[in-house]
Amino acid sequence: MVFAMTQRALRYVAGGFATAAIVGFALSFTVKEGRAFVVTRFGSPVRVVADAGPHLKAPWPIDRVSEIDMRRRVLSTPQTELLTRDKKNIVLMTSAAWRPADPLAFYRSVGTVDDADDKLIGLVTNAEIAVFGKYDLAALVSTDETTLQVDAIEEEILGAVNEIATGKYGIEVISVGFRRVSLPEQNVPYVLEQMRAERRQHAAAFRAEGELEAARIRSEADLTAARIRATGEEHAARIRGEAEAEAARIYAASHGKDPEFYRFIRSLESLDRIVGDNANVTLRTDAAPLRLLKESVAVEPSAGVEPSARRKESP
Amino acid sequence: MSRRFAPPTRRGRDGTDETTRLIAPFMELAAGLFVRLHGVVLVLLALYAGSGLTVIEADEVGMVLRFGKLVGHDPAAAVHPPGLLFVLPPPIDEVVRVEVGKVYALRIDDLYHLDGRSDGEVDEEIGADPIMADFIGPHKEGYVLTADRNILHARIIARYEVGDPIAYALYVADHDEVLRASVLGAVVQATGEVELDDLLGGGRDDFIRAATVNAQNRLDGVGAGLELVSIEFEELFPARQVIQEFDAVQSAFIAARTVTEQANSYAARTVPAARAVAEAQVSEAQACAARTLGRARSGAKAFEEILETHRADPSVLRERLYQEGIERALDQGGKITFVPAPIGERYTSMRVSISTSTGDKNGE
Repeated sequence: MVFAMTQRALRYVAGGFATAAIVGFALSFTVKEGRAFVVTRFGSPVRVVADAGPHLKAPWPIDRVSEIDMRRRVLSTPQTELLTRDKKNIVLMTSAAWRPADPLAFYRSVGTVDDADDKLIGLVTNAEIAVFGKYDLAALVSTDETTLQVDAIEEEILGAVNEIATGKYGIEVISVGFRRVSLPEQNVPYVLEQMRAERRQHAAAFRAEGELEAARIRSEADLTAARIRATGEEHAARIRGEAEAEAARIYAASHGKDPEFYRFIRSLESLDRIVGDNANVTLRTDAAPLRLLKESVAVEPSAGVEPSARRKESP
Repeated sequence: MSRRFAPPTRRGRDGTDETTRLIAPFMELAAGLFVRLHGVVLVLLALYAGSGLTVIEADEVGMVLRFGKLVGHDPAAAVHPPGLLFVLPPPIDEVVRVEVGKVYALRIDDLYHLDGRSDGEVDEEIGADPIMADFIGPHKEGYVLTADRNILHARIIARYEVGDPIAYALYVADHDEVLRASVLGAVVQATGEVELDDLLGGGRDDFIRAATVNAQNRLDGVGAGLELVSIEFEELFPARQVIQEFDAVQSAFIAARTVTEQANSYAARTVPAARAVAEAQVSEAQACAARTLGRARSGAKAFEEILETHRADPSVLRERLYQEGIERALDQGGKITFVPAPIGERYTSMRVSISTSTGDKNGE
C-alpha cells in the first residue's frame, strides 16, 4: 500500500512538473545576453525585449517571438573599383563593424544578419564612391604625411552609412576600415616598372657610393702615409743634422787646441786617402825616405822635404 | 492513508475489489520494482541537483547566465576566477567559460594569398604560371601599397588574448573576423604612410608598433574584448615580378661594401707600412748620428792624445807621422817615380798624380 501511495505521489509530482514545463514553455521565453526578442501578436510586433532573463508571453498562436542577434560583428565588402578626386582608379575592400541598434526597426526592415550584410555592403559601397570623389589617392597612400587622411575618410564613410543604416535599418555601424587598397590590374605594370626603375637607381647609387667611399679611403690612406713618411724623413734629417753639429762642436773643441797640428795630421790622413793603386807618385830623391840613403853617403842639411817638416827637422 | 491517495473510481465497489484481487500480485511486483526505480530516480535527482557544481580550470574564467542573464552586477562579480563554482542546474543556469590565460594566434593571409585558395594551390599556380607578366589582379592576389606606391605582399600573424571575457563571450560574434578586419585596417593604413625602404629596412619596428597601436584602437572601438599581444610579419616581400631588381640592389650593396672593405684593407696596409719606413729612417738616422758622434768623440780623443804626445816632443812625433804617412802612400801608390832634387827649390818634395780612370777598381 505504501508503494502504491508513493507511486501516486510521484505521479502527481511528475505530472505537475510536466505541466509546469509545458505551461512555462508556452508562456515564457528566455533572452540571452547579447540577444533581443521581438514579440509579435498575431503577426504584428507588439514589443521588444532586450533585457536578458526570463520573460512572459501569451501562448502560441497568440504571441510569437523572434530572436535578434545583437552582438557586434564585422562584414566585408567585395572589391570595389572607384575613382578618386584626382581621377585615379583604386580597388577597395572595406570592412564595417556593426550591430543592430534598434531591434524592432531591424526586425521590420532587415530581419536576419545575412540580409543586413547585403544592405550594409550596398550602403558602404555607395558611401565610398561618394566620399572618394572628394579625396585624392594621396589621402590613402602618400610619402607626405600632411596629405594622409585615412581617419577622416573612414569617419566620413561611417557618417554617411549610419545616416541611412540607423534610421532605416536600425543598425549602428561602429567603425569602417580598409581591408585592402589595391590598384586596377591594368595599372599594375606601371607601378612594377616604377619599382624596377627605383631599384636600379638604388643599385647604381650603392655602387657609386661604394666606389666613392673606397677612393676616399684610399686617398686618405695615401695622404696619411705620405705625411708619416715626410715626418719620418724630417725627423731623421734633424737627428743627423744635430749629430753633425754636435760632432762639429766636438771636433772644433778638440782641434782648436792646436789647429796647426791638426792640419798636419789631417793632411797625412788625406794623403792616405788620396793615394791609391792608380796614383802616380813622384818623389824627390832628397825627400824622406830616400833621403836616408843620401844622408848616409854625405850628410846634406838642405834636404828637400815638405817645408813644415823640413823646418822642424833642420832648425 | 490509502484512502486519501486513492483516486476516485467510477466503477462499482465489487468490481473494484475483484480487480484489485486480480492484479494484486502484479501490483506487488510493480511496487517492488518501484522501490528500486524510486532509488534510481532519487539518484538521478541528486545528480541533477549536483550538476550545477562546476570546475573553472586554471587559465579560464567563468560567467553564469541565469535564464540567459549574466549573474553579477559588475564585471568583478560576474567573472569567476578558477576554482569550484556552484550554480543551479540547467536549464536555469548556464556557465560560459573563456580561456583568458591563453595567447591565441590568427594568421591573416589576405594580403598574400590568391583569393580563396590554400597554400598548395597558390604555389601550384605560381609554379604553373610564373606570373612574369606584369599583372597582379586585386581579385587574385592580396597586397599592400606603400607610401611611395610599391607593391608588397605580407603574411601576418596576429597574437592576442582575451582582455574582457564578458564582451568576448557575450557581445561579439565572430572574433576572428573582427580581429582580421581590425589588423588589416591598421596595416593597410600604416603601410600607406611608410616608404618601402623604411618598411624593409630600419623602419620596420616602428611600423609594426604603429600598426599594433592602430589595430588595438580599432578593436577597442568595436569593443571586441581582445588585447593584441603582437602583430608579426611572417613574410613581407615585394611583388614577385620585381624580385630580381631587389636582389640586384642587394648585390650592389654587397659589392659596394666589398669595394669599401678592400679600400680599408689597403689603408690598413699602407699606413703602417709608411709608419714602418719612417721609423726605419729615424732609427737609421739615430744610428748614423750615434756613429757620427762616436767617431767625433773618438777622433777628438785620439787627436787630444796624440796632441799631448806632440806637445811633449813635437819634432820626433811629426817626423814619425810624416814618415808613416809617406810609407803608406808609397805602399798604396801604383807607380812611383823618383826625381833628383832640383837646384833652387823649384818644386816640393812629392808630386802625386791620380788617374781619373778607375776602371780597374770598379771592374773588381
